[in-house]
Amino acid sequence: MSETILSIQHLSKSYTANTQVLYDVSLDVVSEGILIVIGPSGAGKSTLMRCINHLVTPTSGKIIFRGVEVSSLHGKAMREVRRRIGMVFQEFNLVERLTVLENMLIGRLGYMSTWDALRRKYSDDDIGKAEAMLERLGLAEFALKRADNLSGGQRQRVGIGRALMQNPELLLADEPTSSLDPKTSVEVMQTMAELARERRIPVIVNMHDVNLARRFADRIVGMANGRIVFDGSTEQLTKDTLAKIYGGDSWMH
Amino acid sequence: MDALTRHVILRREKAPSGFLPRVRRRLMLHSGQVLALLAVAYVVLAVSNLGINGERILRGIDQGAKFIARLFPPNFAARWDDIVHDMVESIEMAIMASVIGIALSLPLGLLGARNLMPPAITWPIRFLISLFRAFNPIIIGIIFVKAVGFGPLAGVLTLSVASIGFIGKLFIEAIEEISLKQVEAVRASGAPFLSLIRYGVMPQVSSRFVGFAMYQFDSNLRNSTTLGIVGAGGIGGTLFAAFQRFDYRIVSAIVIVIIALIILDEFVSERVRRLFE
Repeated sequence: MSETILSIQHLSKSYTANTQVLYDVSLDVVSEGILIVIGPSGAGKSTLMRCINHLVTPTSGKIIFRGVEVSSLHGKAMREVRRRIGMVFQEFNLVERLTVLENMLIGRLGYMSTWDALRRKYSDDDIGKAEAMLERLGLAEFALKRADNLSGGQRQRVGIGRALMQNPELLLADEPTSSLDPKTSVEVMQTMAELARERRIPVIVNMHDVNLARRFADRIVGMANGRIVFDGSTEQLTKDTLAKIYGGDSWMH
Repeated sequence: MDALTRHVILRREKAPSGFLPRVRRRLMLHSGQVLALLAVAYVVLAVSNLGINGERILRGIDQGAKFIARLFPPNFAARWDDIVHDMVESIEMAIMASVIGIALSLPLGLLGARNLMPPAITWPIRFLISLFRAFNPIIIGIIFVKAVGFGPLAGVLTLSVASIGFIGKLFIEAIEEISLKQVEAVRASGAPFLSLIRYGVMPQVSSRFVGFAMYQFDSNLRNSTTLGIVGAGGIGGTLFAAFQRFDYRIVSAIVIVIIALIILDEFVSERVRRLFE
């Protein structure tokens, strides 16, 4: 059975007085499946995603994650919500000068005391989990290599692994394939979909590649100019709706 | 203005009519050459104004030759115990000041970085660091000698302040250049603030920090040999005393020891730097 775990209600965000990026966005996310948010650059996809784990503070509206209103939280309470939400980034955002294994363990920082973190002292349990995760991702041999030695696809796998090390109840992925070639994009999406399904956690993915979105989405949300203009299944995503999301249809031919 | 920009402007814009507008345009197009010409003219004027002429230079060379003759042979024996004691003091001052300066520069650098902290914190910190850098170590040395009395304590304080002024600024600049993407990823994991600094910020700047710290130690070592002139401890006091007594053979002995120390330091710091790369 799928219950609603995330409810976004009347969310608005403006960075300065004249630049509003989100206009009254409402969206409910259920506890399983892949939700892909499509839309052109600047539609507000990234801002919407960053409001969910409070990397960005919304101007108005509510975000309710597992019954807790996220956007009013501060300090420790906010960090505790953050560690329950994993995030994958467009440019991987690995700490390049640390090893692959240590990048995985960054996913545990939300659970570690500051004192242990400062000394880089991880529990045996965490190290074991990180190694198992690397094994699962096919990256075991790179464990002690520096993260900037990996290829794009490998780095994004580390990014996914790091997010899953948090034991998240929700996975966010902001344009996870935009820096990758088409073949690697599909492989990375497959890895992410598979791991999320195993753990029975929902995934929200931002993307502008419509074909890739059709291939992996259980549900598609279309955004344009800071508003949700489509919400439905892949079958419902017609040429007309795509024209509405991206503006015009000349690019489809 | 560079030649390419000038070329494009000349092609696109018609010359204005009237004498003054044409001159103004000429000056603007050749602003670089005009500035260079002014600089040369200023140096020529200044040299004659300071009374530096051929006769004065020849007189200076003559006296310099006599001075150099009196430096040799260096006399190590007469003041050997003083030299050793003061050299050790200089080295200790440099080491202590470097450790204190670097240890304090790290938190100050983090607090002064505008990409991590709000202006209410960065402004006072940056002001403090600029203030520490505003004066030559000799001036700071005089102040500390007056404040805490003669001796190496004043020297250590002086060099610590100078270290903060210099590496504090470099630390801030290094931190302001980091990739915030890595910081954002660590923040998204729910890491507490100090863990965020440790994992999001420090790995990106640590190798540069080591470089700055080594550089500052070199600089402190050199400065610790001069601070004795104002009574702030180290070999400089003995050197200055020898100068005042016209004991030029002792002066040359001390200078040779200082040179040996600096060469040794170059050698060691090169090794350390390679170790951290």
